[in-house]
Amino acid sequence: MNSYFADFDLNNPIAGADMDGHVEATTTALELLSKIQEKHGEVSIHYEGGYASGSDAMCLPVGEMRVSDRDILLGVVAGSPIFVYGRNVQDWDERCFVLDAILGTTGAFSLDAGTGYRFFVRSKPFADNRAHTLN
Amino acid sequence: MNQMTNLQAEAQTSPFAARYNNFIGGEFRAPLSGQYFENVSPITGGVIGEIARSNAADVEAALDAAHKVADAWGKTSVTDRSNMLLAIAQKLEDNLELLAICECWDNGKAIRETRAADLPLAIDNFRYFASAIRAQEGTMGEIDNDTVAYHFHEPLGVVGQIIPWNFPLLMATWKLAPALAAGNCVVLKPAEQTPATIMVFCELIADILPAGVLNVVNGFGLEAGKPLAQSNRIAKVAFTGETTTGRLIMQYATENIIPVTLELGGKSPNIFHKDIMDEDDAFFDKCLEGFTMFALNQGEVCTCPSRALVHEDIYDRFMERVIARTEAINCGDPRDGATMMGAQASSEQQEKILSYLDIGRQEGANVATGGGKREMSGDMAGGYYIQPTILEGDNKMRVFQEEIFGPVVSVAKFSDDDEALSIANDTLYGLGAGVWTRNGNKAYRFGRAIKAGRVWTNCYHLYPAHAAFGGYKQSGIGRENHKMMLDHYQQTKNMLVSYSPNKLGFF
Repeated sequence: MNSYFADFDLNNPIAGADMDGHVEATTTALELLSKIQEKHGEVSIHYEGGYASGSDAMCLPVGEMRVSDRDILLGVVAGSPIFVYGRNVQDWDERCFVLDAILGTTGAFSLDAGTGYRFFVRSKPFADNRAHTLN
Repeated sequence: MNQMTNLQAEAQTSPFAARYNNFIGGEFRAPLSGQYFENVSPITGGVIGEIARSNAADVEAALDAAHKVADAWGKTSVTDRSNMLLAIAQKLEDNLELLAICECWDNGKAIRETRAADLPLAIDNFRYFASAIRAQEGTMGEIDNDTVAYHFHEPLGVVGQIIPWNFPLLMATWKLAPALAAGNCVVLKPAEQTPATIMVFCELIADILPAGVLNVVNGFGLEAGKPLAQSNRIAKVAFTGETTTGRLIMQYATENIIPVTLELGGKSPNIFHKDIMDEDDAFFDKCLEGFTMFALNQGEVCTCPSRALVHEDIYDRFMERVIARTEAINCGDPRDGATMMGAQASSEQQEKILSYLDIGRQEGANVATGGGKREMSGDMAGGYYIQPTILEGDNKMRVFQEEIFGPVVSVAKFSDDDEALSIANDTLYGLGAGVWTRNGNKAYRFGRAIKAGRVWTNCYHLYPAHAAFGGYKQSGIGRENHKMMLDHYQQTKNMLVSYSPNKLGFF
């Protein structure tokens, strides 16, 4: 566990939710994440269901976004923490957060800009993917 | 120099040049990296040209150009600046059809709207601020018989502006007109989804503004927008866009201790009281249009009336009428003057809307009409089209709480005024709202009780230059439009002057 994660107890997440299986990533998302990590080092993912590019998960260098009490650490994929923010936070108690990547360009300051792909958030019910564990 | 825009283009042909460079220091400069990105038209999904893919070095060059002339520009007389804004407005008016075609191709919206809304509003905005700056005066306070406090308005200097893609030219105008009127130089970063019309604007007005006063740097948010927002050489940053980026921009601003104006998301309630159906008259027809305003600009408006709240007593009858009105929306070729709704601005946006339609279905929302992709033929087959969609459900659903930014309205019932207000305010956002009633007292009470910066009362989607626009809650900080906007781009200089020959007597 690196220093950035030291602020968060992964076994006892702020959301008070079961971390096991709360997040997962598709193969394409993992490939994109790995490319970005290679180039930029440690990154974190921030998701807010809102405005125009709101369904794009924003991928930022670790520490770029000042994380507040209202950023809920939902889980970790490939060493990158996933934070959700805003009104939709409680929805993730009921659904699994699926980090996907699809063709396209993100419009924001996210590190996937210019790669030809962009992160995209999907969700699915927990029941059929409880077996997926966090990295 | 850019290769030439086709000034004579008809709506069916893209008017854009094959390539646009940045506009820096009054000239069109290639990006220092030599890189370009492809601009795609949402109408066809095809590439319509190349745009400068700028980075921090280009932003620095733009800041150099702006700083070089900032002092001189700030000292020009308000008459001169006002006249320049009037000249810009005239230039836009003279080229209204060309720019309307540009916006249609760049953004995908229906040319019917760019002709009737985007362009006329942009033109009027320049004229409004040309007038407002002439009429603005400082103040003089008489502290005592020999002491006077003068308050002068001074420009901030060089400001950074980051523009969204939903009304590319109009949103640029909302930020540019007050900033220039107040005597600031601007470095502007358009949205990468809609980078071209603003370059045509630069071509048209290049000889009106002194070199360096307006600088436009295109590119991706990460590569060009971020260095601009982070720069310690800007005196203010104005941003319209999504919340997460808004948070980052505020963060960067705290590091530089500069003000920010943020215009972020919305999930605006549009409330239909039961008395609207007392008569089936012109006013009720206006109410039906007010509901259908969710489809204006394909729903890509931060104030989209995306939550309709309808009194239970009229619910079924009202829904029947608005479904019919929605199904009557002419969804043809955006380049055809009769078409009412065009393409979504990007494949990303189309994808996002489709994912929300899916979420809505999963949550149990009823799809009253629409609900999917809109298939088009000919050269539009590859474009990004969505059916105007009405969902019925309850306010706890994600489709009621999250901004879809598409032609999708989520409808819920209410039984009394308290419930209507409680649902209306049960949102993170507070940008717009609509209230429809024949009862003036009710309209007033709702208008005051809704926590939003703009409450349209018996109207919707009007954007006059002299009505303040902006958000409560997480919809943002600051206002756009209205002469108060000048304050957002000005410093207050207080000169405190003693005309007394006598010392105070302390020392």
